[in-house]
Amino acid sequence: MTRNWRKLCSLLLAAAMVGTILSGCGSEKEQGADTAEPSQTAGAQQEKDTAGDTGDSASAASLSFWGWIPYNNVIEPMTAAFQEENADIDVDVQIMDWGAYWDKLTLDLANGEGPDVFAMNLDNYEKYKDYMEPLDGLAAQVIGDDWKTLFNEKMLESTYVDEDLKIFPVDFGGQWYVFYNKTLLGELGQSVPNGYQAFADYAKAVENDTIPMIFGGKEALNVAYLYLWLVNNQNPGIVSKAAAGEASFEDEAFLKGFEDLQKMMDDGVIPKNSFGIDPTTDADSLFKERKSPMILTGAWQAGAYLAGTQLADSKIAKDEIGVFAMPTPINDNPYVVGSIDHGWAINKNSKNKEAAMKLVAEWAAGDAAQIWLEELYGIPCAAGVTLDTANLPSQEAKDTIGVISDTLSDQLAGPRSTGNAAVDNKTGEVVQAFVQGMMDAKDATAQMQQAYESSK
Amino acid sequence: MKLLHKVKKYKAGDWLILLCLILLAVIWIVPLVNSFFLSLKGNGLVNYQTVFTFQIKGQYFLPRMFLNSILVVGGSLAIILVFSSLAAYAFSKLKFRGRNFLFILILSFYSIPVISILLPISTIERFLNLKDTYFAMIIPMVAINLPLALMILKNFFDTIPDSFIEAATIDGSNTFTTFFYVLLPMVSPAVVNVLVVVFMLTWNDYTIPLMFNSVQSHYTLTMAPGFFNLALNKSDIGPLFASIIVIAIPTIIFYIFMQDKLKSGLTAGGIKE
Amino acid sequence: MKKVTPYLYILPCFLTVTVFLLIPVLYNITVSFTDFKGIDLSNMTWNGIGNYKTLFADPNFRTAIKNTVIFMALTIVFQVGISLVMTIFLERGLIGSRLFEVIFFVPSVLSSVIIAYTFNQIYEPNFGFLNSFLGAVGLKSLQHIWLSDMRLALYCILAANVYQWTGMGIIYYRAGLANISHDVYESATIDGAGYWQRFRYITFPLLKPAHLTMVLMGTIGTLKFFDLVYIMTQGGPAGATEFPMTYLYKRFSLEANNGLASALAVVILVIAFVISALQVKLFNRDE
Repeated sequence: MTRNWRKLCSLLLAAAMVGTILSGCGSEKEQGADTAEPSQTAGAQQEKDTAGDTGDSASAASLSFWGWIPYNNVIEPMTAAFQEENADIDVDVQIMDWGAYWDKLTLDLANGEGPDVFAMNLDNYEKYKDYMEPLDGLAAQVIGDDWKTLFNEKMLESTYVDEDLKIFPVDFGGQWYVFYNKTLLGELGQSVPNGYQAFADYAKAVENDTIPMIFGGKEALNVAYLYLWLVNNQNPGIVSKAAAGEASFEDEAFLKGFEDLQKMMDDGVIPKNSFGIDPTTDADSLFKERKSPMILTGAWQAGAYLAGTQLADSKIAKDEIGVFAMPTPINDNPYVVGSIDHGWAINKNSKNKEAAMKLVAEWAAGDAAQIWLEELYGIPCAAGVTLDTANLPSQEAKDTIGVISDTLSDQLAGPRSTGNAAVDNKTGEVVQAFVQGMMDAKDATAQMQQAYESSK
Repeated sequence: MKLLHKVKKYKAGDWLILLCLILLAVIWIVPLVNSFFLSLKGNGLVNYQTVFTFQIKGQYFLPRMFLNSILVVGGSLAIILVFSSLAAYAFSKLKFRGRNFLFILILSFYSIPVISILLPISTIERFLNLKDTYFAMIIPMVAINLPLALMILKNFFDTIPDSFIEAATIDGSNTFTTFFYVLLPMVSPAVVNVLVVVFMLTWNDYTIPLMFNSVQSHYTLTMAPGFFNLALNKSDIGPLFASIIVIAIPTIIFYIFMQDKLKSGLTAGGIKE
Repeated sequence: MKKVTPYLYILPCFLTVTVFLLIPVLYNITVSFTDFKGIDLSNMTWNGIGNYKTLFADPNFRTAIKNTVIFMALTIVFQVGISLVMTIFLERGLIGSRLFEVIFFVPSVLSSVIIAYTFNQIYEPNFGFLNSFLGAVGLKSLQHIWLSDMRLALYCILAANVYQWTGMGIIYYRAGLANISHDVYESATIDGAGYWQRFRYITFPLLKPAHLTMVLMGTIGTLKFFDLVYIMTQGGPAGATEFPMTYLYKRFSLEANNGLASALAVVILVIAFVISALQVKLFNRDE
């Protein structure tokens, strides 16, 4: 009996040895690598304190950053721009995909850790606000009392929530815009439609030759945002009011929004097949393949289509691309919806807040911001960043690009979503059901209101 | 007549079977070829070069990620094999109280979604000082895949008649030697089965390495596609698809290597009925 | 001493599972009785079975369960069935079999991103392969907006799933076949049994361990089904392709409704337990 116990034990010991070697490997690499991860163990959590600290001293600061955007080929020059002036601060960057990002951020923040700096948007502000450091005081301390001049005043104001500034805003984005291919329109014997009725006529005229307009309707949230935009055109600002409990989701504007949506579908402005088109993959390739002269999407595509940042090998590289704000059935000079699209936040548990502030300031308003905005072509929030429109590939682009910033500053009705994930998800569902003819407007709005109430 | 070896003479039915196989293979391969061509979009084979030569902070990173994958997967496989074969033997051949209940309980744990247990596991890992080690990734992988390995091995152990065990015991073997020298070799197809399947699942897993590891030098190969999301619109997918295909290649090679092992017959180490 | 031995054998496995799976399950059970929302663990209050009531009242959850059942049944028929057929065909050792086998296997090692993208292309209503093909052969009336069609989307996703995982089943069946002693076949052939008879009375029954594994994996695995369906339809349109995992993802990751999400996880676990118990008992009864 003792003999086979020994065998059993030796087997388990072997496995344990393998394991220890591996964990030994782990900590060795840890100390040896120059990408030391500063441990963020804050004092205030209930679980046992871990010994994960790699002993990085306060002198050589090291920052970690997580984001879903911008992409790796953009974040590197941005980091380099920062390192030029701050060579003593090391920045560890991790970009991951959207879904995983929020899960990982939630996980680490719940453990009292997380990166020093992370990307944030206003939709998720509510959920993470307790973990983000208020930036007013820190900015004044690190940058100087005139730090506010770094930003466009109006946009900075809109980033304050309940009188707290927790995000340094980077760009302002909005919807709904139509990017059109003037060259292709000309080939079809059409000109750029002006106003909703002209659009409906155009859709009728071309329906046998091409897709009148591409809209990525497969994704529920995308359709939800379109619907909410229609509602905001019926009654500017009502969506935010309903989300704050000051109005009801069953109010008239919401019902009329469904009518508008139905009209757009009936007129062929939103073709039936739209609801099988994926907004991130299909829609874009269809437009680039010249399968349609129009695409209904958001301002963030300005970089791709107007500035031609991603047009190099596509069929539309030589075409004249322009943009206009999408009219609604009741409004030829429509409201647009939008908000601070993206910003940088500092972790409340960070041990390197001053260094983090320097990074955040550089990325939001310094050379790095210029680099990024040139890639993305969003509307910059930084005062010192202007986008050069003289070098856009087509004349049409140069003529029309101003539309985006004009409408976003003068015709803004509110953010594109309700700010409440449960309501947004439910809206997506009911709108999809409505579009399939399986639910009527009254039912749909009732469910939205219900979702709002249960989420409180 | 060996059913498992190459048939030299084709009978009438064989031609029909061959036709079906070719048809199925065509259906199966078209999307693969399509994906390969998509991975060449934009820059052609340069996409693959981009994948292999990409750097973080001036250091080539892909080899390191490859090594990390091997460490994590290898470690997980070793531990899973040991733990599950011991347990499967017990569940199948040894009698003890709660045998059925425990087995079914562990099986049902196969349904647990990883995201529901992220927070508890990471808390436990911090409690055990496992943060930032390779174990932080290995242990969840082991835990998630143990039910599967256990299932496969136990089902195979069940097919071995008790007469083998009786014969071995009569010959003076005790529980462990019976297990190690008699029964384990008899289920070698099952062991290979577990090896291939668990290798595949752990090699391709990106959730666990992503969630339980923030140390850049420990990144596994499955983090690679994250570095190739180069464009706002996922229609610029060349390097992304290339990186996914690169990740898939080791598993395919491993599979081809293991194909032969699955063809071996049974009678090694057994006795005639 | 002898009585302790079995427990020693299962100890390492059991310990790992207890610490890293059972304790998290207990965590989930606890949270499922609270109204924990968001990130901070400190602000939850006891909720009793409120989350469970919400869960069972939610039509999307019911659809998710319904879809799971349909999927389980179809997966067993198609995936397991086609796997078995493929394995049997490949066993003949005909020319090119090794290549065919690899071709069938490759989709299961490619990330779901590629598979989903490929099938999205096929189902794209304007220029995708399926609609184009139907138009070309004069079956225009059969064209649909596939992934957006509330009745058909589920089956479209099933096709993608079968494509991805059928090849992997060959491994299981191959291992199962390797486990069958040649002697049995020899004596059967001597007795005059033909190919089909050998298959029906020897091969098929003796593949029981493989059958059991495949069916168990197919059913419990369906409870975990997420990647493909989330990329292709996100559980839409209007919840028509909702699965427990897409429902979980929306409640947990998007809406931070941890209480409800944990309740779902617990329910799924119970379902898995029942399914496992049924199948194990069923298969063991045939002994």
